[in-house]
Amino acid sequence: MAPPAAVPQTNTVLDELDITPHPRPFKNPNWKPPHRRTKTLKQILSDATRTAAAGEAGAAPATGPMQTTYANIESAPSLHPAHSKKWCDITGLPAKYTDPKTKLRYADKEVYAAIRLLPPGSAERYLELRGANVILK
Amino acid sequence: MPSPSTSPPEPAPLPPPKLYDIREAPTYATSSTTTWDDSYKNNSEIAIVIDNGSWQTRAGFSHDHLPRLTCPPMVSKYRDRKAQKTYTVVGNDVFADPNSRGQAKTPFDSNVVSNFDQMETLLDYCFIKLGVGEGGGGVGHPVVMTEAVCVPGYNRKMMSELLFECYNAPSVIFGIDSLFSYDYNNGKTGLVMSAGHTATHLIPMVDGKGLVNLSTRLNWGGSQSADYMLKLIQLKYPGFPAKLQSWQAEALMKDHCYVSPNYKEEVANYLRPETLLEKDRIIQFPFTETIKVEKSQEELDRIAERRKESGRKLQEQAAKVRLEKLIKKEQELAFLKTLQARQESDSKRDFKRLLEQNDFRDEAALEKSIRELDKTIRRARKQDVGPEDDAANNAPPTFPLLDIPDEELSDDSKKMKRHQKLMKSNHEARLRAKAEKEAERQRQEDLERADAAKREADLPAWLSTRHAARAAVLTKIKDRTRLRNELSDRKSLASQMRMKSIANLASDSPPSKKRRRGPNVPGSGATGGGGNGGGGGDDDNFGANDDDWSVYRNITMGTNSDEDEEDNELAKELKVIEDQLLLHDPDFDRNDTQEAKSDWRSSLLHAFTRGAREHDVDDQAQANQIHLNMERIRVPEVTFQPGMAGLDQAGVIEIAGDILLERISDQSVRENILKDIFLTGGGVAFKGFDERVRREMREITPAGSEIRVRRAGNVLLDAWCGAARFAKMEKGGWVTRGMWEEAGGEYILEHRLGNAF
Repeated sequence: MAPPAAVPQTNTVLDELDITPHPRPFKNPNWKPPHRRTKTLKQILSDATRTAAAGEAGAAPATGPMQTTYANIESAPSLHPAHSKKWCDITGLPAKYTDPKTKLRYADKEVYAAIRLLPPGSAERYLELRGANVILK
Repeated sequence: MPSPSTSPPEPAPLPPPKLYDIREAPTYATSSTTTWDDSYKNNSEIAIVIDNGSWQTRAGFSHDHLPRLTCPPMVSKYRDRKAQKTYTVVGNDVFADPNSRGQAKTPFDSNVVSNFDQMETLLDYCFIKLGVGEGGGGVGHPVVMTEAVCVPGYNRKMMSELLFECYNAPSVIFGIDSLFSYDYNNGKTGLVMSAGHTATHLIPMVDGKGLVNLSTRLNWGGSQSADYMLKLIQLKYPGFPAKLQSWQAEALMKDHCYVSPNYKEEVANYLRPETLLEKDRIIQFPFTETIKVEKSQEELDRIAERRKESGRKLQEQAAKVRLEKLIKKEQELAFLKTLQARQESDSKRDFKRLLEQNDFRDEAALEKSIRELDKTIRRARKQDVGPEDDAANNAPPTFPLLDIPDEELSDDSKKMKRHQKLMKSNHEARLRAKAEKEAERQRQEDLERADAAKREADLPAWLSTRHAARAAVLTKIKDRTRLRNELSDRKSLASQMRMKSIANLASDSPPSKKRRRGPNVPGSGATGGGGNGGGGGDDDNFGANDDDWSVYRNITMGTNSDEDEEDNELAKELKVIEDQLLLHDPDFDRNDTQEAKSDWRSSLLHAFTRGAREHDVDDQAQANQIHLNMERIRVPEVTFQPGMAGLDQAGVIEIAGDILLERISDQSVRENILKDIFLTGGGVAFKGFDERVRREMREITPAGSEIRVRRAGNVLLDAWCGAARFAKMEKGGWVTRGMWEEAGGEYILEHRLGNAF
């Protein structure tokens, strides 16, 4: 590296905590990290399904119980009718009504009046909390 | 909000609220005072145990009773321009500096490791802190590491590669954190419910072996809860002066949330005053008190005097203007009346011409104008038209010059005469106004008498008319507010009607004013005003109805003093009616008045955002307060009802029911599992979690089932302790380097607390 033109301003707190120069005797000196090691979970899962599909197509069909994977241990949607209960988007109280314009659920007329006065975009954020917002692509 | 003067007698004043402080930002200073046994570093029999969680990384030796290192899995690696060097800061240390904090990243995506470069740095940090590998060439200890339930093969391959190739670990065991925790709490057969940072898992265990193939994951954990909390608070206080940080929301959640034993029942009454007093938590954010400059009494008096003075001046001016207008109108009326009188004397043709000269179509139009003018004059006379003292106290002023013809006067006197003329008409107008006012007063008194008579004769009928009047005023007020709100929205019907009116007025403003026809005349606009009914002929009758003129008001936007005045008038009218009702209707009390209804005590939203006490808008302390009430139970409830937060999955109880009642067929196994429902992970730390699980499990299981629910001794640390004990006691399950080279990256030996292969 070329000699620095200016005197480096060191950060004394961080210098103490920095582990960059710390010796790492526990590491294999010949270790070279493989290329591109960062994959998002989504990528990993889709890769896994692809290999599984390819494996099934090529080899004999798998016998025995279905293999549990990260993707298929996910909980299924609720079938319990009680869980479709509606709650007020603003206050969290039980909601009897839905505003036809914003599609927000609300508990009483006072909350409705407040919904009418929401600044633009606010209704969308409330809906987003419930995963009911419309995303235009 | 000022306290209404007519409020019912105040209840005993509430004690001052308990205020909770917001936690300090996380810091890096975590110097542990515990001394650890240094000999472990060199004993290659002792395993290194790493609980590799997405919330915290915990590392230590298997013979320790607690992990030596506990830190968030944060890695901050960046180049500092000023210092001209690359910093690598890990764990709690990232909070040391704003730069490092800003650059901090986690190697995790959900609950699996996705960035292995960062993971490598994190492991480096762990091993540095543990001080291993002094001999060089590797860590020199077997490694026990936790991994996610059913972790994808790719991740295990990468992790094994890291441990075997990079760190030369002699042998490795992977296991599931919650199963280690259960094992540590001496569980053999039961259902493990583990509420983690990014996900919640349910895993049944039979005879000491975890049934991973029956496990189920709910994609909701502490991080999602904290995020939910943050968004709820942000939406609740959109204009909050301080910016709420995500770690603050997380701290609030941990300190104040609890699981409701019966959500449905509790939530319905949560905002009632008595519940709120007990449950509402007030969080005080730091603020700077603005010091008000105290004004002395003299100053205040002076200001008040000045204000009064200027007010009086304005009133005088307004009265003068009104008087002038009144005079002008009176003159106009007089002129029109003379015009009308000529109808008799002139020939029809002449009269017609005369009318046309004065912009009238026919006699009817003239008559109408006269009628209108008369009406407005009458109305104007009732208003204040300047001081009356001269008219009342003094002898009527004389105007001697008026009787002398102009020819006999000098220029000066002529001027004087003009002035006197003006004075005279002023004086006369005032007199007329006074008379009109007197008559009006008389009329009012008559009306009141008649009203009282009616009331005494038939109280119910009178009451119903008053109630109807009150309802009418209320509707009017409501309509006005609605219209105003709608006008602020461009797409509303009201706005569109306004634009239409403007377009109509603009296109018709040229001289063809009288040719206007069709249904789109102004006045049928937003007011829906009548007056156009008979608009079949050439004249559309615009202006016949007073409401027609409001079209001009409709097209002017913004704050209109006119509108405010009208609002005040309506409010006054309402007050009068309500006072009457209060006086005479036994069924109508204070709580029914509009004032009481708009009082904060009856406001749900006030209870929600401001708690059980009155809110003072000017108080800086109160402006920097957050009230946590519904959120306290709403946030943890998502684990039981994921649909609340838009997660389309079954809640933990339904999952447990599904595993126990549908997927485990053996009756005796099911019964044994029910006897030990085990809760672990940070998410179960909420107060009331176990009671709730107990109660709801009882609801879904067959009557008479024996159900026991328990919590891990330490919901956070027991996973690590269990892994350490497992490493110490168990001999099987180790994958050696040789096996790894032979069998490939994803290979593991199945053991009772790990994933299946």
